[in-house]
Amino acid sequence: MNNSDNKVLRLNNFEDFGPSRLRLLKHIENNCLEYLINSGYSNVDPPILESADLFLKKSLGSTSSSTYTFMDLENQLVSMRPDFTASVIRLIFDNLKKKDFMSKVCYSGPVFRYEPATSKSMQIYQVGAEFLGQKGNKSDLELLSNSIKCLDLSGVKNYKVDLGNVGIVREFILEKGFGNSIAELILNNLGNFNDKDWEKNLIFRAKQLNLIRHNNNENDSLSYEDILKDYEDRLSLNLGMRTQKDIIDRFAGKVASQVTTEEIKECIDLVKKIMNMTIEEFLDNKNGIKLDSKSCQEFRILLKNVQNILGEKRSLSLNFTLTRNLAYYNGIVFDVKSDDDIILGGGGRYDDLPSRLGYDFDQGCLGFAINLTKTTQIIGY
Amino acid sequence: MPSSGSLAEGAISFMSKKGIKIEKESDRKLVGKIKEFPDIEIFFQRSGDIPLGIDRGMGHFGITGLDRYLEHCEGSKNSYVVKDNLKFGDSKLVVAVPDGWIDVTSISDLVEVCYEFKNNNNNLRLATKYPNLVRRKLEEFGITNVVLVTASGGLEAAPMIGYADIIADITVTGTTMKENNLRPLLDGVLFDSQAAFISSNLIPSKFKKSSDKIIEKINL
Repeated sequence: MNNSDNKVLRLNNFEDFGPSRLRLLKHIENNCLEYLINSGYSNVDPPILESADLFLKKSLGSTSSSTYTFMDLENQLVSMRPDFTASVIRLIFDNLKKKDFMSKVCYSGPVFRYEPATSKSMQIYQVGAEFLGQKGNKSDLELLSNSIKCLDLSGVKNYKVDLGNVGIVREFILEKGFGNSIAELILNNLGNFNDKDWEKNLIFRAKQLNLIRHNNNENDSLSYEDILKDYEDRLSLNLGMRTQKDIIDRFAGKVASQVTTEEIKECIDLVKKIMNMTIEEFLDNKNGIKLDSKSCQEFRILLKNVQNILGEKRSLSLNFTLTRNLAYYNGIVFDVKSDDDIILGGGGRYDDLPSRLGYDFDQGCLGFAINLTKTTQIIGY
Repeated sequence: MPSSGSLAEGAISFMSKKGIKIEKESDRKLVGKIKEFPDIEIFFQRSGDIPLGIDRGMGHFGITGLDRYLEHCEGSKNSYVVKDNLKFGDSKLVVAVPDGWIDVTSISDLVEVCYEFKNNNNNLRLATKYPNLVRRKLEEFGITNVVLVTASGGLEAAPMIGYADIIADITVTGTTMKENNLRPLLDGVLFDSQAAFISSNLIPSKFKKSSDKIIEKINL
């Protein structure tokens, strides 16, 4: 047997960083951390390995199939972090116990994702920051300006920013009288907005979801007692974490909250107008749809400020279809991209995330991360 | 080749129908031979271990469930499906909920139930042996916020034990689910699976003649 048959090869998609690339990566990492620390952010370093539950709760499972999860030697289900956010939030609450606080932290290091369908690197270096304790425009602007500053410090010459706002889209749908189910359906499908059959597929999906009633008659109403009596046997079985009341309320609500096909088409038409809005149309509030709410007005101010920071050489696009494929964003969402559309970083607002992770906190949470693996690749080394 | 169960019997019979007679000294023996292909060795393994074995080049051809292959190797450059339906080993990957959830009849009802859980600061947990396949299929329905709990057996008891709220599992008749007070959803079939013939892309060139012949016979 040839001796070379015995050599152990590098795992597929795990990249080596040789001296020159590592030097570049460390240079960018240090510059970004130094800037963030000087801006009042504390540098933290959570462990790479955490309880699997932390990441499952954070993503509501949306990244669970791409997270490295296994039983450790003490039979605990553990995961290698797929990003920093959940670990950093846990770290903040574990170490800073003051109830009314504002916390700004920055971090850097590798995250691990399993993406077999693409040839994406599975170990990704990031530098980023989390900001807890403030809602509203001021913190949104701080987040965006820090991301832009970090990209500038990295030495990437040409980049652009796509900025959206999941909160505004949701607010708009709810204001028009549609329920959470319709809002979730539309938000979950915004990523496919540019598909040719987006509208058709959305209506098909709404039918699958039983969100559409088959006739225009008023729905019959069912009393709690009637349902309990009719389904007594089944409702007395093991219901898991759901209560009889949860089930009966939803059963009655399901029948009462359906919309007609015409109504959902009307909703889709309105959403399409927002999605197709240019930044100028949104800023001038001239698109046939009046977007006058407080959050729209604040978002306009934010857009103007970000335009000023970026200057004329780097473009800012309004992109309401941006959701970053993660269910937890509830306000601004953004991607920073190279000229040829490689995502170099991104972030947004996820105010509900601390409470989802089990912390009694509702004072704002947002963050960003720069992908140093991609950034060094773009710059060249 | 699968070492036990209906897939094992079906695989031997399938190969025989294709004119490839597999010789095995005894039922317990985990290696076999094909008389007309002396350079080919047959290894009998658990069907769940076959996809990764082929994908990593430890074996060059394999018969396994299409569900198992796609769970572990979909999109891989190291292996591919030669024939995706060998006409045996039929099964369905089905989502089932506790029968007492009278408000949940379609897979899409889960979207709302997910949000009910979220509003109560909980996560809807789905136990499955196929986290990748289930995740991809649920995403096709626009359901992204389910926590998948990977389990290897006895899934039907998961909601009773309490480590999951619902399950997605392979079923043929649905009887076990029913006996454990679980009800498959009306549109809850995530995947129709059958036995598939898979091949590694890492077959050394010295076996090219034999491997081409095998593929030719399989595709007949």
